[in-house]
Amino acid sequence: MANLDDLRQHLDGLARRGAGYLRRYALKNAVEKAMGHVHIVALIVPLVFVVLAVAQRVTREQLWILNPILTILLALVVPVLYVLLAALWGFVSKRISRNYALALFDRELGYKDRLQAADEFLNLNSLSDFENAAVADAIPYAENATDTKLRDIKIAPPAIHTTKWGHGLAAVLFLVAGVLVQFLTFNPSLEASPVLDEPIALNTIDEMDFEEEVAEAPREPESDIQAPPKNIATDRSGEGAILESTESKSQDSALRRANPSDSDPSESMQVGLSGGTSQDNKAGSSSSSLSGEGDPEKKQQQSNQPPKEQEEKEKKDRPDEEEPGDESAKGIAGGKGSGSGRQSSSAEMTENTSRPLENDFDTGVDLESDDEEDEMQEATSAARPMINQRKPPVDRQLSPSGMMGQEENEEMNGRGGAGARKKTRGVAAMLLGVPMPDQLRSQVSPGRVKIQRERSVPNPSQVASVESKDRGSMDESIGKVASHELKPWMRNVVSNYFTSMRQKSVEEGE
Amino acid sequence: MAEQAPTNVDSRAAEQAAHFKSVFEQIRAEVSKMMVGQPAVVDGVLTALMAGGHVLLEGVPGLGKTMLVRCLSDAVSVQFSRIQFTPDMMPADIQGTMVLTETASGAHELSFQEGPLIANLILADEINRATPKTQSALLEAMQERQVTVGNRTIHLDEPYCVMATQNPVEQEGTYPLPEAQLDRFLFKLLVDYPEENEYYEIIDRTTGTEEVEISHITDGAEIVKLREIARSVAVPTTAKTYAIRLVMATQPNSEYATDKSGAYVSLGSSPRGVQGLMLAAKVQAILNDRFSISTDDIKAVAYPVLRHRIILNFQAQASNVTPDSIIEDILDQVKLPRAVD
Repeated sequence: MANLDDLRQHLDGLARRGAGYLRRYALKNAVEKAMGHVHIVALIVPLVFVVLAVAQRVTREQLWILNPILTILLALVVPVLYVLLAALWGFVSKRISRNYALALFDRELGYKDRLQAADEFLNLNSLSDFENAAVADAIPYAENATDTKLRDIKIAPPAIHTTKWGHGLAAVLFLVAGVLVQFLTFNPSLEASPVLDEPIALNTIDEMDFEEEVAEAPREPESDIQAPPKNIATDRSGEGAILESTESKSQDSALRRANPSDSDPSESMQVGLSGGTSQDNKAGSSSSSLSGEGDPEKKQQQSNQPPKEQEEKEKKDRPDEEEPGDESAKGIAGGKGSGSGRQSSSAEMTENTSRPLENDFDTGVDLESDDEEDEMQEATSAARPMINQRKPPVDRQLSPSGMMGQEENEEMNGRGGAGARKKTRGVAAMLLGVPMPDQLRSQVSPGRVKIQRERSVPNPSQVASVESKDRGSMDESIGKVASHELKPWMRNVVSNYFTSMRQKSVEEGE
Repeated sequence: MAEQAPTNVDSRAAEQAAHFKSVFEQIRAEVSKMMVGQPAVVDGVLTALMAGGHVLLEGVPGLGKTMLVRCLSDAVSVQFSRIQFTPDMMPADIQGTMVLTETASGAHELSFQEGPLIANLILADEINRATPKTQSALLEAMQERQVTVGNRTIHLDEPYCVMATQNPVEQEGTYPLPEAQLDRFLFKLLVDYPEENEYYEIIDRTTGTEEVEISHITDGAEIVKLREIARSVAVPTTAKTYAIRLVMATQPNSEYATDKSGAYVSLGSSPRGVQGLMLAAKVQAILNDRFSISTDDIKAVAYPVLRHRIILNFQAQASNVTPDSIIEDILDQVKLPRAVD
């Protein structure tokens, strides 16, 4: 019994010591686990710093938390704090049972679970022979374990995965980026620079250019700007037109610089670069600057007017140019010329169909030209626009899949745009042909099978009924009727039974 | 502290354990007179005999499977019978049947003629050559220790041990054992080729004029007592928990299933696996001079106990994954109950 008490004391001491070591092990595990996530935690502060720096740059409000020194300190402290807290939590929350503590000695000293088993069996009420033997067997092992210093059991230091050090590098880069962003935002010398702010920069550049132009203005004659020579504009072919257009571009830009309030900077830049091509897209004259059509001053005005008014003004300004006879001279460059337009491809016509109707067909076309156009339309292909009816050409496309990605428009009725779902006007077999055998095997038809039906009416037949008394008796015997032949002893039993019954009744009667 | 003999322990248990170990080692020594090498197979067969289980020996022809069982039957003086399974064998051929016999008075009567299945130690040679019908005749005898023929039930005497052999190579004309049959074997032992130095001993022992005689070490009654001793070994909770986790890890949808067992196992071990682990580990504990099971004992017997209870799926067969590799993975992955999480 004394041995058992000693064993209990030994096991208690071993359990306490083992628990201490296991807590260290749990602490190590917690640190390892925290180190696995610390790379991500290290990224948080620099990322927040960068985001806040960008936000500060946008909102232009200085945030006190964006102090770079404070941020660097936070970036260093937060991961360390995270590891410490995680380790503390892992150390405190780990529940180490007595069995685990003894298992540590069993494992490390190679005792084959003897200490665990003995500790468990000691707590049982009744022990078998082998359980008692197991307890007794554990005594020398427990004594030996008590003498063994567990500090010899080395716990490996926390493993640090060098493969995740890239996160730390990224954190440093974020930090530097945030500092740079913040530095650029609040550097007074750089803040005054308009380069960083685009709207300010554009206005400033415009104003600066304007001042320069004003300074250079006396060099150019004002008459060139205000009243350009019209004879150049009328000449729409040849190199002179191109030269004139380039001159007019420069004059346009100069004029716009002189009147910056009339148009916004972006529009002025667009006009200066494209020479009014944006207007040409709508009006159909693809390169009016090349054709020398536009007066610079008028173009300046046109650019500020809506397309309809601009078109009407063009017509009023050039009444002689709108004559039908001159339209042929416009050519492709003119875009609106009927002479070249009649020879244009169907693709051009399709392009026309996409425009609004009132823009495509002017009301100023006279009836004579309409008649001519009707004749021409009848003579030429069907893809011509039906100008007299003011309708786009009939869409000859046979594909029924015309509604892909387009909204249905019932009014279009399949003309000049996406109408209702088009009917299929043919099948592939009409174009590709249908494979037909040269000779079909056949057989002579038997024709209709004639089925004859006859209506037959049943005829009643009279048969005299036979009375039962008229039936004769059976002439032949029915044969032997099967009957059970009783065995002799059974016959004796039956006869004895009935004999006794009769005798009894006779005796009763007497 | 190195493994040492128990001292100052309960005298009765110590005596029993010592006797158990002594008999075990004597039988092993006798068998080793004929059987060269294969110590794991010899120990496995003896462990199964002491634990009260049946053994399936698998190996190519010529490795001494049949000779091992014959030597064991010689060392253990029990009733021994040998059944050479063939495809045309019927259940009545092994269980027994009613035959017409002549009495002393000259009359004729039907009497039950016992088959070879009714013995103590059965050598079922090439068991996979018998049809499933005949293989199934072994089921009742192996599990319930009884044979039913017609309306007659014959209880088999203890010790009862079936030691079956099968050849893994010649699969033509064989009938693989069904899972229910396999589950009834405590161990499946793989008999491998002997080592190079063992060949010399084989030549000397088998091709000379000297004949080896196997002496009787013990008898059936003694074996029954040894089985009771083995069952008396104490089992701590840690060992139970570990055995349960191991068996559950073989089941693909269980909580302890590893990635490999989940991917390649179609059918895991049944509760018979836990029983087998415990019984075999108890024998191991006594042989290792302990009175209670440790997790190391369970690890030691995990392969022969579990390998035939793991049914692999098609993917495993296509990937050449063996049950032993699954068990190896399970032993690596399943944590000991004492392990710190």
